[in-house]
Amino acid sequence: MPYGYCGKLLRVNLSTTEISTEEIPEAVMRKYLGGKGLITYYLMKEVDPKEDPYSDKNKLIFATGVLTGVPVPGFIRFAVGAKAPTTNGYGQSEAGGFWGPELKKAGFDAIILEGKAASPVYLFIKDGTAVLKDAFHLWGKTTEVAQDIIRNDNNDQAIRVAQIGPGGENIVRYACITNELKHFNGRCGLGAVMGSKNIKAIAVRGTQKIDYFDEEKVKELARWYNEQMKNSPLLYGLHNEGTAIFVNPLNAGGVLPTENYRKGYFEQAKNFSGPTINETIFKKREGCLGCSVRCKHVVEIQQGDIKVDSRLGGPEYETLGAFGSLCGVGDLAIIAKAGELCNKNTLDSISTGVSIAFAMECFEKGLITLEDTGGIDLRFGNAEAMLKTVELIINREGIGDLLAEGVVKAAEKIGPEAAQYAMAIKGQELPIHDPRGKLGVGLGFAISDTGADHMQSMHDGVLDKDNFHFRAMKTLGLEETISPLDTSEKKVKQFYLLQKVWGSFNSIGACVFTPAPRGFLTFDKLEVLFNAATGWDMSLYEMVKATERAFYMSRLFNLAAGFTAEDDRLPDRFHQPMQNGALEGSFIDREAFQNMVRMYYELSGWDRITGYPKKWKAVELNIEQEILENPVYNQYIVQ
Amino acid sequence: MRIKISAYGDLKFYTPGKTGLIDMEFDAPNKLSDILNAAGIPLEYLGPVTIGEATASLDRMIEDDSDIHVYPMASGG
Repeated sequence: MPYGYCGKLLRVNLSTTEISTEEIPEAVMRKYLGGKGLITYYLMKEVDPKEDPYSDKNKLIFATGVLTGVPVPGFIRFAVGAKAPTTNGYGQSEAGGFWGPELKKAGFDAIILEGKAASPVYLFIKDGTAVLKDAFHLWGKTTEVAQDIIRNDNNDQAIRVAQIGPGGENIVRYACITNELKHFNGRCGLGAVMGSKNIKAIAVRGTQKIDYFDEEKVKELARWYNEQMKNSPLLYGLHNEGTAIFVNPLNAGGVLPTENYRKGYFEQAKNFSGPTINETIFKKREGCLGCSVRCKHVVEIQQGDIKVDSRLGGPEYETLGAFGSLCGVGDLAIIAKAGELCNKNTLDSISTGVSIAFAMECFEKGLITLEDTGGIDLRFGNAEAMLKTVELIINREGIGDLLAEGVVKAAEKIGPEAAQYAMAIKGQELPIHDPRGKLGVGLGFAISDTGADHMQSMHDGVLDKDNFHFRAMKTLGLEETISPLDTSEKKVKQFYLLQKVWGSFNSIGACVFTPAPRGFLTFDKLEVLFNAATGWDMSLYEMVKATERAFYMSRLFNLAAGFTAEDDRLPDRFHQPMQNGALEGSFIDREAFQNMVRMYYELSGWDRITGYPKKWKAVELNIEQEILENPVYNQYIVQ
Repeated sequence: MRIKISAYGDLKFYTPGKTGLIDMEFDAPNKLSDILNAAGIPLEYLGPVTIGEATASLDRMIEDDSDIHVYPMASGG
């Protein structure tokens, strides 16, 4: 009998409407841990890396982690994966909220959606059963409306809904998936895959109990965690201000991306910082299921021309930066409105903001004109123009149709001069962080298997002093604190280890804020929790190896999709001097950065120059024989 | 010498009533790091520090009335 997880996968063929249940063997769950690991396992087996992301042969995989639903703060996450529209390679993105634990209580660890529905449908899962329902009446509806209809149609207000809004239906390349209206599988364009398959939502209701091997021990750890939360400063800021807490320190440190990353300081940043939000539009503090950190800050605006609906949550740091400093906008109400529009229409706010900032710089340089924008004066700082452009992207109208394809494809259409302003890696727009002030984040951007991603590892600035975060990492072999600006091999090792820790969290279903090195739950306690939940004898070492395995496999997938070592690079802008702020004049040395990438390859067991995975590492990680013998992949495995 | 410290994020936890504000008087010039130590701000959790609009080094001597802003280390997410 499995503990902590169900051992069940739901397979739904949208073309034939056939629905079946499969066993997930314990050996597979232990080897891949769920989430990112499990997605990688099925994607490698079932999807051709050269497949068009919008083809009915692409598959959309929802996977909880082995610990998703464990009643300790932060263990609620699930991942969604597919061949990604944003990168045309490996795609995977995680979300918190409530939907993941609900799926487990309904009896499933994972869902694979394959084929394409002839007309809009939604999947309704309840306690071990699943049925496809007509969604014609939901198509075109924003998420808060669609969620109400689904709950009312099924006479159950406790149903948890993961869904797409009109952005996904219109196949905006970076459309995302939301659950409970406020939690997002934000990156990689997985909402566009959902839209391409004509599936509006997956509604889930589960009332079954998840069994744990040692339930009392799990509860004891939950009580311990919540006591820590009352008395410790470690997560105080996140609780008090949400992720908006990052705005002020990043600006003071000169790494708040401003005007499409050419600057690192924005004079109006205070307008959308955590303290200002708390004093103005903050309505209430919320969290994911059972979490005492409660970092979700809900906002509301009822007065004036701009109204913001609190049902859609509130802007996270990435949204504030993307529509704020990156576009040169300091108007909090309009930034919050842009975030709300993204949320209810399911656009990734990062890619949306970066796409608009790109268009603003092209407009400034004369590469696009008023004629191209339909008369919109798309200057940096024009808040109304920014908001209007968000609406155009959602509906793929005018300039919005071009920007809905993301900055790389838009630049191809605008002309060769525009490419220098397209801030993306492997086709995915950059998150709102400047690697000129955090080289580890920059390395993560460059080598990420999903394109530019800020969640590859804990950001470097937190580990340059001998504090709780650093000491937590000593268990894994970090011996000294390292500056965020360091480019040495020690820095690469630090990143490599941190990436494997955060990668493990993506697989097991943990939020990065609650376990160490960010939160209280140190690795020894994480092992205790893991084993109390599952009854396994899992070590941190085994978790890290499972994560290395997933990264080895996603590397093969991306190589087979057509990526090369040339794609593991930063946009040129970061090799040029920062134009203002505390790091004015700073830039990243190209050769030093290239050496960091090559050192990362070596630590990964990949060829130093080509980045091709080596055979010995496949042996060490027990990569599936089926993959090693598949000519699609084994041509990239070298001695 | 009057020193006003504004603490942000996690660092508010260390200020009286978690208000984020500390007012202190010093008789003589002091190093910034010593002032923050005296104020109870843990340096191992300290990110950027600014005085006015400019970033300040912890070795800087503070010789006049000052408004000091202390920020936590920023991770991201």
